[in-house]
Amino acid sequence: MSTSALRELPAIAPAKLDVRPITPLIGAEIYGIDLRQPLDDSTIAAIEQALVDWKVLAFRDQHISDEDQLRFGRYFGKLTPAHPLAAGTPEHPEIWQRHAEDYAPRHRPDLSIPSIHPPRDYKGWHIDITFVANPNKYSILRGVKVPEYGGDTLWSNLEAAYEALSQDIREGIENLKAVHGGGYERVERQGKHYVALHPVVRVHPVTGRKSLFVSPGNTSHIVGLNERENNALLNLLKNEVTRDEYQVRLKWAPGTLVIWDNQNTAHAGPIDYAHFHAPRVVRRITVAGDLPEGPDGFRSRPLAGELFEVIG
Amino acid sequence: MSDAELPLLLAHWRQAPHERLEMSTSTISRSTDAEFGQSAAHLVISPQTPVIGAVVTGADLRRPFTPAEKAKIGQALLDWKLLVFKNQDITDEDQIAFSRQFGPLLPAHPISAGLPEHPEVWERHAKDYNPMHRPDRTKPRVDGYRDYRGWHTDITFVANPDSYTILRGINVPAYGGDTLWADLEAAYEGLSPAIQKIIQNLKGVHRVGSYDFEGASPQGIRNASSYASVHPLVRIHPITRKKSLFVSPGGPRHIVGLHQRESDALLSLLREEVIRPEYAVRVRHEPGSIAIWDNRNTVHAGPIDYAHFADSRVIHRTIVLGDLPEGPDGFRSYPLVGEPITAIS
Repeated sequence: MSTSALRELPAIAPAKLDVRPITPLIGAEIYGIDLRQPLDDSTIAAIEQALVDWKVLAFRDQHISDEDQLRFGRYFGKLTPAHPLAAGTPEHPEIWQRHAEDYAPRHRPDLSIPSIHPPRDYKGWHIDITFVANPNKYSILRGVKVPEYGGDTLWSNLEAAYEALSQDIREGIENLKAVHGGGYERVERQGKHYVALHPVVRVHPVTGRKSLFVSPGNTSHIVGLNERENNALLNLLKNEVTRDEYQVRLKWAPGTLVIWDNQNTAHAGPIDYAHFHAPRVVRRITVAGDLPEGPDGFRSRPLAGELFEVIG
Repeated sequence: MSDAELPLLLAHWRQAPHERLEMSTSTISRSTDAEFGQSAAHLVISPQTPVIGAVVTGADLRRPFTPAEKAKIGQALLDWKLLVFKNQDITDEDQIAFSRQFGPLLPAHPISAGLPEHPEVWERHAKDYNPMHRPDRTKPRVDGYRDYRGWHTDITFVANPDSYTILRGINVPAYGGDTLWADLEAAYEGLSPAIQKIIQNLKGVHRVGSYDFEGASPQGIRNASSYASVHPLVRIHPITRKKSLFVSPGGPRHIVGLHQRESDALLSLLREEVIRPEYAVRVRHEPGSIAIWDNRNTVHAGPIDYAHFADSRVIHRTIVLGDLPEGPDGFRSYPLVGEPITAIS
């Protein structure tokens, strides 16, 4: 199979889904499905098609168990462990539980204390785990405890960001490669350290569409550029991927579950963690992904650390 | 502005205990229903984020507010800066009457005409944005091409920008055409003390074309070069006395007293600070929804995705007379070009 051959969606007639778009570019709510029950193949095919169309799908009023969430995730592929650098829950190594209060100590350092390295700010916008060479394909996040307001998550459409660049910039960046997790974006916990090389323009394995595969929180530098060129170009591209017009903003409610395509979106949340005190607990699982592919057939590879493993 | 013309909020503030407003920071609890009694209990204020924006249900904007409703809505505007009233089937006349409760009304726009029958009402179509902001960039041009800046505070090129803006959806698509608002007080408070100190008494120059009309000739423009004003970078709210970062991507073009590179670097930082998503709310307009916001401590952007939907989106806007912004050092904004604008009704 040539590297440019596209994987096909399952040849099953998709069921009719109640899909309600939220913006013209990204995000839809799905109604009429009960995730406590197993889904048939035609419903799964319809969800996959809706994911191609809208990239982020929110299922409302799904009061489901961890097991229901895991079953839902496995319809779309094999699951990974919770996180390359963090443990899952004691019962389920696939589930990463996050509390909004975890963010505050990491991201609000005391600025008045001199330190060798400058204090890092909350970057917010990122693509999940791009510091590994095989970032997950889909992320599935379930609100376990959500405040009445506060803790919204935003997603951005990286294909729209790519398509809106001028033709000259698109052609110029077409086959560039970028390091994720290097330099100041280094992510290291308990001696574990991952750095990966990815294409700047990614070709989607299902649709063949190009996206701007730049993660504001993780892309540290572009290969082959001088430092000042790097700063200028990455600054431009990071600003482009977070333009408001490519975004959707979701307010969580009890029972909300969101699945998104991590291959052509970036996201940020809980963006306003510093401004509310009510508990916000979410549980995430991730569906294993391929090595991203560039327009020239380049495949991502690790520069430090191993590939992210798969549980199944 | 005479005493008789004072906006209701100012009048309300003068009667209200200071303590209550000092509690109204962006993170601490806001006012509660108990303060306004049963006579306003039908108005339900539902916050949309911890920082900015609330939806109001239970109101009927076809009739004037009762004193209890006025007090509750006035306080909610101080607390949340943006209020969205849902399910309001109202006319232009109703919108004008509703807006007038917050103060005298300005002409529709300083450099653009209002409706023939209602000079206070500015009608905007989403399709107006396309030719202005999506030019053919492959054609060489002396002045280059400007991009859609989006985020701005309304009419800051005049020395006395409007205090409140009221926006009513006339025709809104099923999806697409959202508006975003951000809280400039939260943006100021989020800066480090060192940067707050540097910018404390600086002034910026705002001029026409900062966000919208430069290099374009949309219909109805009267004189696109007729306004420029000096405003403080840090603004004191006239009612709460809270400080806000009076900067936006469509706001000051340069800072007075700084070298060009210093000004560019500082403005670049501040513009990015005010549009951080944690200070923002995103509102999806619905038929019958009407938004009012405090234009003195917020920025907004919309319709942000105008290039991505084809359905008609028409809004009617009214604006309420504002004062000359005040800085921490007592500085008052003044015009460099043009006069302060005056109310017409």
